Amino acid sequence: MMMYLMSMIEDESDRRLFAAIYQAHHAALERAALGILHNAHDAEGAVQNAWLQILRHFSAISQLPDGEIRYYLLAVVKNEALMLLRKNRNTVELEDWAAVVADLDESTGYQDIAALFARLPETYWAALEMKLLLDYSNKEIAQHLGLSETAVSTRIQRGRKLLQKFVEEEGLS
Amino acid sequence: MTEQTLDARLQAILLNGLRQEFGTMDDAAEADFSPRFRKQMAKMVADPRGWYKRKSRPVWQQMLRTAASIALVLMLSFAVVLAAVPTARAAVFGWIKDRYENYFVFRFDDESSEMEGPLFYRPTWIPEGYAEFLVDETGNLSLLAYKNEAGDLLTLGYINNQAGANWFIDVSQAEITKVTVNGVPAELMISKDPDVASGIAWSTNTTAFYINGFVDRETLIAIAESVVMVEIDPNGSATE
Repeated sequence: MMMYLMSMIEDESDRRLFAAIYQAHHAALERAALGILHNAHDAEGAVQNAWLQILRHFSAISQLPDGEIRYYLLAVVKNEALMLLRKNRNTVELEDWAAVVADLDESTGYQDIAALFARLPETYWAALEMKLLLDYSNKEIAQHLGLSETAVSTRIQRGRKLLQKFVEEEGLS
Repeated sequence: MTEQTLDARLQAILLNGLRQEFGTMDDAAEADFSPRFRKQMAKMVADPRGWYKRKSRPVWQQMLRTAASIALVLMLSFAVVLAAVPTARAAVFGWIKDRYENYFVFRFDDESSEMEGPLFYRPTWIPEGYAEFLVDETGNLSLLAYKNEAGDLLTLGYINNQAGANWFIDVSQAEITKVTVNGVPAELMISKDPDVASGIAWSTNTTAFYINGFVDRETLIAIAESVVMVEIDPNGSATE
């Protein structure tokens, strides 16, 4: 699990490592943000916010295996882009957790759970990614999702429960 | 299964989801982003720690910093310590404007003049898309800020007659042109740096003004010419 560390760029070797990570992945982050927002100006904002988050968590990110760094960075920029998208929307979409729960109770096998998992509402996915992968605090997640911290806790608990069932079923399959 | 093991499995699942989502993305080439953004990124790579500190300040602090940098450095001082020799000077009643190589100083130099009490000003026209963002008229320097959807700031700063007050405006990154604002001589400062806004400065018998923003010269002059004195009612509303 990634550790949230405030220490970031400590010395010249950290700066060089950061520059290398930037060089290797910045185009991917820009493409991902543009793919979500379809607007260069907004995408620039999302990418800039993403690099702020990356710097904040740099100590942890710099210790990830090479093959995983790209996807952690993409998770960061995806969530920054989605946050902007939510802010720009004039309406709040209803997320039908009740339907997921109803289907969960009737699900008996790995495939059923996997299908349900893919239907997890957007903010549940986002909350889980930010909590479990990026190690954001509930307050940070709440700011990103435009939700209360209580709502974030609920999503993480429900998402964990679903994922736990998925893992258990996966183990049995 | 321990909670730690479960979390590790959950992380693997989430990571796998990201691989599926972005695994086939064509990301060989940079997006077609603005030169301003590219410059920001270059600054970040050159000095990540400094960039992070600047960008993670609260919005109001960033706004004030931006206002300062675009107006280029703006400060009040009650001590006159200037070593350079003025190359130009313009006196309009109590306000004297000294021009140095890299900055202007507006200096109120009429100690006999009585302070008329607080005077308040507002632009009656600002470019479409800008909305009021901040009004701070509590100190010697009054500051009004407007922001558009793109986040570009437009600020109006003004200072009423303050005996001994100096107002420094750094113009080292600007090309200076003499213009007029409603017939009053003014200095138009067009920035040579895309990250630094352009500005216009002028003074009346009571007040020195400075406007800056990421707008062209005609817009700066138009805003300047629209500035009028207003009355502020107890609710904070301004009326001409």
